[in-house]
Amino acid sequence: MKHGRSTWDRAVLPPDEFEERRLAVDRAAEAMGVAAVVGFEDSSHPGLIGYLSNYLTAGALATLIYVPGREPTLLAGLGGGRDHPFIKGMSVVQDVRWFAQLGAGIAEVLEEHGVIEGRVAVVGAGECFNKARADGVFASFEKYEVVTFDDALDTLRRTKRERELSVMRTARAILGDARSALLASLQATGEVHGALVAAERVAKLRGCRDFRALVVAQNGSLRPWPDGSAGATSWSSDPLTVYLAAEYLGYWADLGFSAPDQVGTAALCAQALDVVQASLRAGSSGASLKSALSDQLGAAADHVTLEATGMGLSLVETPNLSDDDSAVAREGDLICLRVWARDGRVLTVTTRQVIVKEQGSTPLEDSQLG
Amino acid sequence: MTLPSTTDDVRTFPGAGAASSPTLVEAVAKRQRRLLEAAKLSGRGAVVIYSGAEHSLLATDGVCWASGFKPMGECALGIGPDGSFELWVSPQWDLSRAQEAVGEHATSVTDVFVAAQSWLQRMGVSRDEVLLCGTDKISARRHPSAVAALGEHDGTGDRLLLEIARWRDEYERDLALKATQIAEVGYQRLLEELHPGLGEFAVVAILDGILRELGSEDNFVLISASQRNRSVHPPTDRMVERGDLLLAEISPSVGGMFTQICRSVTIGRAGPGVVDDYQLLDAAFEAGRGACVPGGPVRGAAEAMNAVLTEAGFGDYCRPPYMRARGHGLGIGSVLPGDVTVSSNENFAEGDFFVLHPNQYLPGSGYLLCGEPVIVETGGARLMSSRRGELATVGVT
Repeated sequence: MKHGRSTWDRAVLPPDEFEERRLAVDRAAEAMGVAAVVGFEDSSHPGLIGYLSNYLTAGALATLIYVPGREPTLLAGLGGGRDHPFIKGMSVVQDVRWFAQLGAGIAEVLEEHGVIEGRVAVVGAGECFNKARADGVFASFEKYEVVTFDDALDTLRRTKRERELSVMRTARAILGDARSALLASLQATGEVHGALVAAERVAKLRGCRDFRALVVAQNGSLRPWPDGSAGATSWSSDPLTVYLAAEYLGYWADLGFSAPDQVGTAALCAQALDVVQASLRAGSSGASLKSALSDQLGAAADHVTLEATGMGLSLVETPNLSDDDSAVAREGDLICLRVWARDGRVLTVTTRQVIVKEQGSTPLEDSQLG
Repeated sequence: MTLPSTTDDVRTFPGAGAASSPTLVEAVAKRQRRLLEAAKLSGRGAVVIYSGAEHSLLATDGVCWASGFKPMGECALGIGPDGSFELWVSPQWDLSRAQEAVGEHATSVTDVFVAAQSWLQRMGVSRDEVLLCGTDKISARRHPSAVAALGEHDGTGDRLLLEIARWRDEYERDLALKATQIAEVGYQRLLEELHPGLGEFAVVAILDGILRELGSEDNFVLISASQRNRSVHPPTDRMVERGDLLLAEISPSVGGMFTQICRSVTIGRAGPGVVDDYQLLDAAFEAGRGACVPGGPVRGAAEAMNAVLTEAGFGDYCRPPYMRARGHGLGIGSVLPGDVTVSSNENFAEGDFFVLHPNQYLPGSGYLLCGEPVIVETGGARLMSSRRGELATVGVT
């Protein structure tokens, strides 16, 4: 549940940041010939709303109606506006409303903004609605030609702006502190569950809204923490392997680490990560990265699993190089490289966020140095 | 603060994903049988349940209910005409946890709909014979794949699952009790750590840690503090200050079963208006609780609570945006009886588990929280919590 710090930090993400993003959406909308963009957001899919308004819902569906050149309208909250004072504190968009009938409400706002016909683009509907709900909402759109803005938004989001990169660096630094807390607790108590509690506490006290962990259990399997059994004995500290992810001001970072005694797989992980980063450049695909692993690691590559995906407002976003055969890295992409290496019961993981260049890639931590 | 000695240690209570308990194995088998029987009565020979693994306080997960496995990715479960079942799991790395829950019935798949279609062919069951539950969880993006594999389904299975899972069995009631114990103990421990100067989000960070230590695998929590709360909401940067009223909706989950307690805390001594307003909501709670009887209308409970407030002159505040609902269902496979509102068309049934809360804004004190989880039994609504919450005070020196 995403219930940690929920705020708009104006020092880090000032209003002009969102004005610039709005201009980028304007350009994409103009190129598509659309009169308005309507975006939907749920707690797993921040989409256009997180990008343009900073509002991230913890539960109830939210809708943003944006007519280029005009102030956007946000439809959000439960129960007729009870939450609106809070939402306005978190959102750049201050025209916040609630309608019992969402489709009719959207149509009313579009007409209010002078959009009574023509092409309207929607984004996020495929993920945020089931078929019946989508049909119900779009029944109110009969007079419009509805097109999708999903790809256009993905294109905008995959290249991170400087302030987005800053937030992600901070998120990564917080995870570093969480790792330190985890290791300190583990050294003091030898108990993994308590150490993860300590790590989560640090992350949330530092302002993270969400915190996730995967841990290798005693039987060598990977499992989410906590998994419902919550027994301290479920988790293994020997060997210890932990994957942490956290969301800070809407942006994700992750971190994988293992106990230093897992020399073989840890070294393989580190080597594989370096190989992948060295081969990643504009034009790289998942296949080319895997090919690089095979070429340079030989048979050891069989022990390695690579994930190479975009990251930002979502933990996994466009491009998904490792799962989408058609995906190709572009210059400016923020890619998260996650490398897993297994040898029997021993599983290790390491991650690195990098920015794709024309002839290579740069770790996120180093990118601010120019 | 220690847990009540009359109960098991909540930290070792087997939850979803750890079906070493014969109790859970038996419970799951009975749930599957009940659902299959209901499907056959509706003219279907087999059942497929879908889960998109979107877990929340107000959402259900049919796969978790029917298998004891709380999915982390898209999953589905098929129950054949002979009562045999299969669980199709993604992502692949989560298979081991699924197999701990259901043994060799679990397999890792890349597309649950393709797996379900293949299973139907092996079982010799046509698509028309399938009761599909969880159609409301299938995203519009995934809908075409579902139709291609299983045909069009109208949501009949969704409602049937809600009805069958509505009667919370002994295992679920135990989970609810454990979760409620965690909520109560966690709240007491939070009071010990609560002080002016903490940010709202820091209060949540502290509470989360406490609940995790006690054995909660998830938590829906709203915490807000203000001299006059407009609502309760996710935590912001606002610092808790003397004179604030801190509101806490504490909703830990154990084994996929959420509970909720609603608490109000004054930071420093409470003013007389706050005490009076809290007592009013307390009286409204008891009036509403008295109306929660098997067969009684759900709206009756909302009306009973509203009547207390109306009599005190606050009838105009018994509507949005001053309040939302007077409670809501909680459960793994069913959240019936749904929202406790004056517009509800449901009737209470024995076994209904929900939080009853006359939470709302009042012009004198602002928003106040006052609510407990209850279960409907033959004689009425029994508190799942050990005692009624009270208006608490911290920071008095």
